[in-house]
Amino acid sequence: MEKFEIDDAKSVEVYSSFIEKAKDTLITLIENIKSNIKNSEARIKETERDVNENESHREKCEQEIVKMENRIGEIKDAIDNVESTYKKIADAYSSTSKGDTKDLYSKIIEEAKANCEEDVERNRSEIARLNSDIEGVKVDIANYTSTIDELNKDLDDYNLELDKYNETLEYFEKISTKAETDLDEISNEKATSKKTESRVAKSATRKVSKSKETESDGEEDSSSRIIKDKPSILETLKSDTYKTVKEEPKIGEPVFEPKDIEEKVEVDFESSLKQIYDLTGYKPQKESETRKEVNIESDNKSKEDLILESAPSFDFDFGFDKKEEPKKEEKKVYTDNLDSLFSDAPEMEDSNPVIENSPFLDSDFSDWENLLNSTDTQMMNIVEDKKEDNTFIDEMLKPYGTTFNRLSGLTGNAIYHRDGTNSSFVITGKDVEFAINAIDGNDLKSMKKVGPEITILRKIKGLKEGNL
Amino acid sequence: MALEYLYDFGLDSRDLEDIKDNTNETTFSELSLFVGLVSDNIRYMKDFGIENYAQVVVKYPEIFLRDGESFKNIFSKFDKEDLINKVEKNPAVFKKMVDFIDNN
Repeated sequence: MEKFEIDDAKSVEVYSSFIEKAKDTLITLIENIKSNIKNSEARIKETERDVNENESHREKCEQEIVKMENRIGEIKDAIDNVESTYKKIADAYSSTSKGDTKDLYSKIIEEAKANCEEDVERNRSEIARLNSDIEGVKVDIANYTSTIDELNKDLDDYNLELDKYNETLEYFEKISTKAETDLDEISNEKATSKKTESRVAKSATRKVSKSKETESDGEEDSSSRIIKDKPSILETLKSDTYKTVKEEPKIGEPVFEPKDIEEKVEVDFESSLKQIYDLTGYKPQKESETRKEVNIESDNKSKEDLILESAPSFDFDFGFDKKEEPKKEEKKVYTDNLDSLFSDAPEMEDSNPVIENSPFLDSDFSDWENLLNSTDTQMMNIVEDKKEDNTFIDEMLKPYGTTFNRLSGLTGNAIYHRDGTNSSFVITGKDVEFAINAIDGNDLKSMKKVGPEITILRKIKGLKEGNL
Repeated sequence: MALEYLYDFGLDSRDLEDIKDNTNETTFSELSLFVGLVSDNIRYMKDFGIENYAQVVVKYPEIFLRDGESFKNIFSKFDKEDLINKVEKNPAVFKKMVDFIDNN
């Protein structure tokens, strides 16, 4: 009991220091996240400024283009004017001139024409230059646009990052608060347990003055009281402390020591061996094999292994001899000690989490002897596991609006191929689990089109055929 | 035979041969495996009132390889009488309808 108290206090200390460390770490993390948030916000501001600058450049470019296009329009008008004027002059001179004057006028017209063409050519080259400028500006605009797009993308990323940081911050702050609460709770519990301890010590001292038996009874009472009085925080400490309690042999209960077992095995064996063989027609060879099977199958039963190991060594390879016979007796010995055997609860509980919360040898296991000796036990476990699997798988399938049973019901029990061959097809929970875990983007698209059930079934089929 | 269950819907061995000839390995194996799913869909089509559903099954069996909900959705998008009339005149109409639903 004292050991339990020390271990418990240590556990509380360890837990407290863990919580404190966790709290410090969380505070550091929170600080880091806050600085990250500041950085993100600064980057967002910079990016927004860049976006604004680029947008104003783009607007200027667009205005420039409009101006240039207007200028091109003006030049085209000018060219039209020049050409029409030239045409009018030429027509006028050609219609009025006769004889020598015609030659003179024709020269004038030629000069005017040359001037016009020169003017037009100049204007056209100006238009070409403006057009190339416009193209250049358009390229600039495209660049600005892509820069703006990239900046906007960056901005989105930064905002996303900021959101994530904020969420993380919120989460860490929650954890930090929880850690503080836990620390407070632990300190309160410490104070409470100290008080209880002192009370127990006092009562124990008082009881020491009485007889030894009374003292031991008193210890038991106080220990049970302490265990009962343990506040909820101990529950939070879970396994370690609990195991410490369980590992301690209870007062008054037989302690399961290998040496004792060995002796008991030998005594039981020697006294009853002959009688058993006579009565049961025992076949040594078979027993040896059975014993081996028991050895293999009972790996989880630590006490059983302990007994088998602690029992006198037998050489199974050399056929039957008298030394092998005690094995059956051994089994008896520790089926007799089954209470203490199964008081080793943690291992049993670890191996079968379904019955973790139910007290052992309660209704389900009260008929332990039959359960252990019949294969029904194994079947029950299998059925239970299967039920559990289905529940788990159904949970996994819930988002897809279906169940394991429904999926199984939609399929036959064999895949037939065009060449006439076939292979059996049975869906298991594992298959569904693998299939769900292997769902990718294409499958989601397929689900949208043909539905989730057939998509999952196809996935399972593919996995089973090794095509995925 | 892998597609024996289709006999229950009035298809005969020639229909099954046609299905075998007109489908690829994947579709054939899926038709043979997803018995419950295909049967449910054929039953729905039959109950909907399309009398020549067997022709649709023979010509376009892959249409029936989809979830019940998805399959029913095809029928809900069109006027019932119009759908029945058109599919009975030409089973290819049903394929076009499925393509339309899938692409929109």
